[in-house]
Amino acid sequence: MKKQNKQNSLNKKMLGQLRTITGKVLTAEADRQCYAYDATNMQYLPDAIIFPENEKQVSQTLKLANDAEFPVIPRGAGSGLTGGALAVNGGLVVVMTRMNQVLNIDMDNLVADVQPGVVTGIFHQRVQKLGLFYPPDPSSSAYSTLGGNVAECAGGPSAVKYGVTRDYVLGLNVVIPGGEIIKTGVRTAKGVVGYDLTRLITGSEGTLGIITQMTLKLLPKPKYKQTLTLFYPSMHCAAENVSDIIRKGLIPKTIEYLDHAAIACIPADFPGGIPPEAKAMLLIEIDGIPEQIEIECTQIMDLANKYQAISVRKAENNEESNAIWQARKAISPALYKYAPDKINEDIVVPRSLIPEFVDKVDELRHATGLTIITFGHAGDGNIHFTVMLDKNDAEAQKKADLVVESIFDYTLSLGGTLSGEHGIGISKAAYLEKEIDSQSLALMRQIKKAFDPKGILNPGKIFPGEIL
Amino acid sequence: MILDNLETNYAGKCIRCGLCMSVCPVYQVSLDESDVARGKMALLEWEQNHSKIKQSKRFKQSISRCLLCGACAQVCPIRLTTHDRIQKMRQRITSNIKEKFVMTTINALSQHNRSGKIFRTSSAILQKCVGKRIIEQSGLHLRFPLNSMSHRKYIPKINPIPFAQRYPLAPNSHKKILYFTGCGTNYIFNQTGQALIEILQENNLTPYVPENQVCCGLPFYAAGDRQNAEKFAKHNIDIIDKISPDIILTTCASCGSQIHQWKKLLQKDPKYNMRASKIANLHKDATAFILENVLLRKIVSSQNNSVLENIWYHHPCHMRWGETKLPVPKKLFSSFDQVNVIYSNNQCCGNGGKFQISHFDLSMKIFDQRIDLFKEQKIDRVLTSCTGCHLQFLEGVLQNKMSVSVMHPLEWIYRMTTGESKKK
Repeated sequence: MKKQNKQNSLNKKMLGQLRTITGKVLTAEADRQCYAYDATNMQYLPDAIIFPENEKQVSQTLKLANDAEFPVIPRGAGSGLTGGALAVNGGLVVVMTRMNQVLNIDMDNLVADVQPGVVTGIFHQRVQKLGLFYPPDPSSSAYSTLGGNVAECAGGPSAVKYGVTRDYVLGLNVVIPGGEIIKTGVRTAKGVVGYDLTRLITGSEGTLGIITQMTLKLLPKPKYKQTLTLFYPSMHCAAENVSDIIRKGLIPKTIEYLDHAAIACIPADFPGGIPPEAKAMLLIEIDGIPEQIEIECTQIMDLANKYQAISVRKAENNEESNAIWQARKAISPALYKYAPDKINEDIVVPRSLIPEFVDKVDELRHATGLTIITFGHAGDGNIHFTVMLDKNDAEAQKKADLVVESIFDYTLSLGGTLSGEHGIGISKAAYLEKEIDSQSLALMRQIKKAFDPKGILNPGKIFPGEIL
Repeated sequence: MILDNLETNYAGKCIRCGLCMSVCPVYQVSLDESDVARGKMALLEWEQNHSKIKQSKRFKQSISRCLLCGACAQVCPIRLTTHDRIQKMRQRITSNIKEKFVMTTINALSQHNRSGKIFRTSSAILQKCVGKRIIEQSGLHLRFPLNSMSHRKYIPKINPIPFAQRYPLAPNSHKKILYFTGCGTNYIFNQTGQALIEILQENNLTPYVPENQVCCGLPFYAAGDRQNAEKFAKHNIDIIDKISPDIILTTCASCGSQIHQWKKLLQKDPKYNMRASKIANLHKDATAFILENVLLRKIVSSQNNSVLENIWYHHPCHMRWGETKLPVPKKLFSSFDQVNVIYSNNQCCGNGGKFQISHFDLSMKIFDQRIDLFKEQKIDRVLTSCTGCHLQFLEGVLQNKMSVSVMHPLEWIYRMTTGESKKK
């Protein structure tokens, strides 16, 4: 990445003005240390931190920032995996966690109006109590915020049947640089008036505006669900099985897969235990009405035999299926038992090509001797491709960089994409041009400029090599 | 903890994944990164290279804003024990005057010598004379133990004579049971100890209650005062070993967990360390002991209760994990049809000992997170087996102007079986 143009850092006058807007501005180094990181574990010290409590404060802040030309970095829970919340150029971190009200849940029209700081898991519970369902369920849902989820277009295991965050965002209130407040989208199931700014801003990683309110789509909660755990003698068998499930027209809520290294991270008290010879595992959840679940369950279990499943097990109750999902969510962080550093990519391939991808990974693993783990959302082809290493080991680092590069190239050759749900941020900016052609990229830069002519909002993210 | 000297960059191991945000009681009300474990780790890592900053006001404040509840360690994917690190950092930074005052008060309160007695007696007399109202509103309340400098509403009545000195029992059972009362029972909640002893005696078991037992040392340990924590631990070990019991019972989860900490605390003293390990193996929570030893069935048969009661059972942090981890005692209620029990087993009450004294408003905010459900369920009674939680619920109930009684599960079961359940 080229050296970025240094923007203004915050001076005393600007801090004073910020104080009149939000009351509290954190500038002590102890506080700046605590907002210097996100879940990438990279570190960039911001100059100051504020916690706006309403849209007006966000608007005044962005007006000031635009006039004084200092960088503004929007932040939710700081749980992102590509550095979207990092102050790579210093500047002001705007923490949205205190705007955390669920404003309205409309049972008749199945929409909810929420502020960006609402924790996703708490929102899940709120709507569930009313018999409703908000499907996007990233692994971080117990602590990440809805605003962050929308800004990064978070996914999760249920995408195979229910889609991702963008499929549930109907409308947004967004403050754009300069302080103007725009309202995008609709509150209805349909809407084709004008360009779809809602979709544009969803997943824009805080580079176009700061989201201050969201209208989210809800579904009725499926009455029943059934979790299945299946073990296989090889990753290939499991991957072929997934393809066949989809070919048969079955769409479970979730099809997750784990390779043998990921299986080794599962706690010993896992319901039903883990067969020692297992090299791959599928976690399948089916939801709907009991009769349909029963039929689909039988079909899937029959298919599993065809692909040499070692064991197939239905979760016996809710506690069991909770324990199963808990174990699945804990895998990503548990991988640190292999090495102190992690390179984590979330590529997507067409799901029918997962077996090919798995073969490629095996080939790279053997060729390099690196600890490579893959697991993820087999149902939608989104694979968490992970290399565990010690970054102090220069040779391993070099090998890993090459592996990542060739995985990216291979993914694109299969018709896939570089990121399914983590975003580009700073981690993948250097690879963006592999996937996006130069004309599209130029157009994207123009869009960025239309929203943020001075380039104050989340500079250094997404685009390779420079800020606008 | 054993690897202490080998781990040069413990804080640097934190991967900042953020999972701790999902459980940290302090973060969840403050929403401030410097309160959650990964923020603390960032601060500790920073301190490693800038050791001067540990005496800065902002740094000290952050280190003091931790309940030491240990929730973060339970979810941490790489099993970092941030609360241990906080406790260690507290040892290294000098406390301010207010905190020192509190520690001195607790120290004085828990002395079993003459000065401690004078302190307790005068506190009790003063409380009686001056009355609650004046205590709340005047500077005089500063003089009262466990009641320093806040808008606290609950003022514990201090027993002038400690519980342990009132029960010089002559044990007669075949099994030597020692009851370690802890300061809660010893100085404030007599009735808890009384209930335990009555239940045991009905079953022909009489415990030793050594009258010269002292504070378990946890308040000192948590505040970073290792010296006093060790002193108290050794004193108690000497007293316990003199009796050489088969079982040691506690009615306070925090004391129980501290008994298990003694061995770590006395690591550098092999003899005491060995004795402490032995003692830890003998320890058992009193409620669990009663439930396991079928003693309950006998007394439950005489239950006398007809009004439906809504009970909030609060599982103390010190029973939720660590060596003193216990399941929620559902068996306690299994013989009663007329109780509706809400088990609260995943959230800290916000007390955290000294935390409540140093950060009263924050502590109450953490407590208040349960208030909606509390009111919705029309709770009549709170049962919890930890002195800190007990005090916190008494305070929280008063702050929220609710008519709810708070007691130890054993006191409740004792009352239920003796027909005194209506009393609040």
